[in-house]
Amino acid sequence: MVSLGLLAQQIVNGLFFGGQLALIAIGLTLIWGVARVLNFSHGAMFMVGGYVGFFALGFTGSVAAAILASIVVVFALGWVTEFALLEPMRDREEFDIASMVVTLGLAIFLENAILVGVGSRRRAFPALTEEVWRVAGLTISVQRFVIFLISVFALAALFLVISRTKLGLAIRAVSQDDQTALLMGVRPRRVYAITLGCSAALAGLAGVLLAPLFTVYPSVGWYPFLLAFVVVMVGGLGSVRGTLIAAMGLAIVRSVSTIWVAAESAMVLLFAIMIAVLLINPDGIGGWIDG
Amino acid sequence: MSLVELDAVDAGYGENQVLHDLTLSIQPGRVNCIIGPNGSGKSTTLKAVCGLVDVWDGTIRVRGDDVTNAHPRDVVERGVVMLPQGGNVFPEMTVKENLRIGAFLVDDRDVLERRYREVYEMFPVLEEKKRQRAGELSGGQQMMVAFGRALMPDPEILLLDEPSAGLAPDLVDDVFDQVERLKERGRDMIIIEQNVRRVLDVAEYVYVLDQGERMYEGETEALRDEDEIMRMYIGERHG
Ligand SMILES: Nc1ncnc2c1ncn2[C@@H]1O[C@H](COP(=O)(O)OP(=O)(O)OP(=O)(O)O)[C@@H](O)[C@H]1O
Ligand SMILES: [Mg+2]
Repeated sequence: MVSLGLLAQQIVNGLFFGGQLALIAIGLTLIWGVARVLNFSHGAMFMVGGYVGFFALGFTGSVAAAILASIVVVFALGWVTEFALLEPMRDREEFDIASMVVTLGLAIFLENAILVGVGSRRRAFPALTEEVWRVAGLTISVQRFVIFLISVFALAALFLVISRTKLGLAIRAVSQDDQTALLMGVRPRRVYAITLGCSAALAGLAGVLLAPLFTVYPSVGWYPFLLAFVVVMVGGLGSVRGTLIAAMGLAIVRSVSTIWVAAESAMVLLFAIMIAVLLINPDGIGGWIDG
Repeated sequence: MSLVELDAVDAGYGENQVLHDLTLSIQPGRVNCIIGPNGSGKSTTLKAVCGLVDVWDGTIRVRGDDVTNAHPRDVVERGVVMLPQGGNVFPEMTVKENLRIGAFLVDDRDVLERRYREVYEMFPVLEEKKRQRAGELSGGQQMMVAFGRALMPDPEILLLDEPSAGLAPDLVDDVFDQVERLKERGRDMIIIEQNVRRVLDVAEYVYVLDQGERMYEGETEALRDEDEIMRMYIGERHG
């Protein structure tokens, strides 16, 4: 028998982990849904966010400034990626494939640019706080709680923009039918660039927020990218709600399963779930809830 | 000055030329229609005006302004708005959001409210269903959404690409009633229709296209004396 206390603890851990996963995965699903790009440089955006945060923190000594700098710089990086690399290819027949190859190239380029420019040394990012709360028998890391809150806040802001603003209306229109959106006077290319920027900014924010946990090094983005990829496949590529559900669900499953199995095996479990979901419905959770 | 003018336009998709040296000069103050067989380039003509199709040669003007290969937004800004073939509502958006995005270039709240009222007055069912997702509506209601969406910017000239296609007979009547109402209120239109008999009752000026070329243009009344055109494109029963 598992004690209820342990189970509750793992669910809380899972919840926090889910917030982190969602922060990375939502951006990935969003650009697919809106701009039809499966962005293999999403992990590199995470990595750049970590470095920008690291240097900004060293420069200013302020965590808030580090977070802000990461968001701004990585947003710009996403924007430029659309205009410089993706837009010129958008009229091609096989844009889906071409954009995958180009973003993979960009990821490798960014990783090597950092390797050459900054070096391979792991940079330790100081913890926000070491403090721990004990509430009702649960141990809660204040740092993880704060990361969770910021993630929730960032995603809530994104949802508000998408559901309530004119920009959000344009984003949804372009994702549903870009040709008809053009007829309304929407400029899809701008919408793509803004979406790439927002998506990258979320990855950059995740990169700086999680830097105290992961440290910062040139290939740090690949593992979160892989996890986000699994989440997005389970949630349904392009489905924001499905991805959110998948992030929370998978994180809690992983966290609870570590009561019985080692953390590495928990990873295998996630892949098994991904394959099972894709076998049942190739559109993932989004295929059930959005249809 | 012409409201919309195509001057010796060649246009197409990729390598496939669809419009051949097409010249149309749409005068203000009347309802125009374009008829012709399937694949003759009717939709392509309107899409070229709206900036959705590459114009290879020739010029397109709106009230004298050159809009050849302009961004569709520049055309919308000049008051030219299209209801695309099949309607193409945004299925995941509510009815009201579809109307809102129709007036994407309008920001004034009072103006927007007035436009909603006008559209709801024309299509009361849209007000009842304004919070429903457009994709959940019937085909006829989706066409109303698309029609209302095209009216939201209060266009100077409305381009309707087969607004009655695929609708049940009583809904076809509704569509033509709405077109009549718009005509009475002095709205300029270009209508593409398969339902030739009905559209000729409304339109004052007719263009006949075949294989991307203009085969005929003239007043609707004059068309009735064109035996050859009537026989080839319109069918004897009207002659
Ligand atoms: N998006 C496209 N890409 C490539 N070719 C196209 C495209 N749209 C239309 N065509 C081709 O252009 C030609 C003219 O098509 P268009 O849609 O303008 O005809 P239409 O007169 O509107 O016909 P219909 O009565 O069937 O609507 C056709 O041969 C069609 O196959
Ligand atoms: Mg057509």
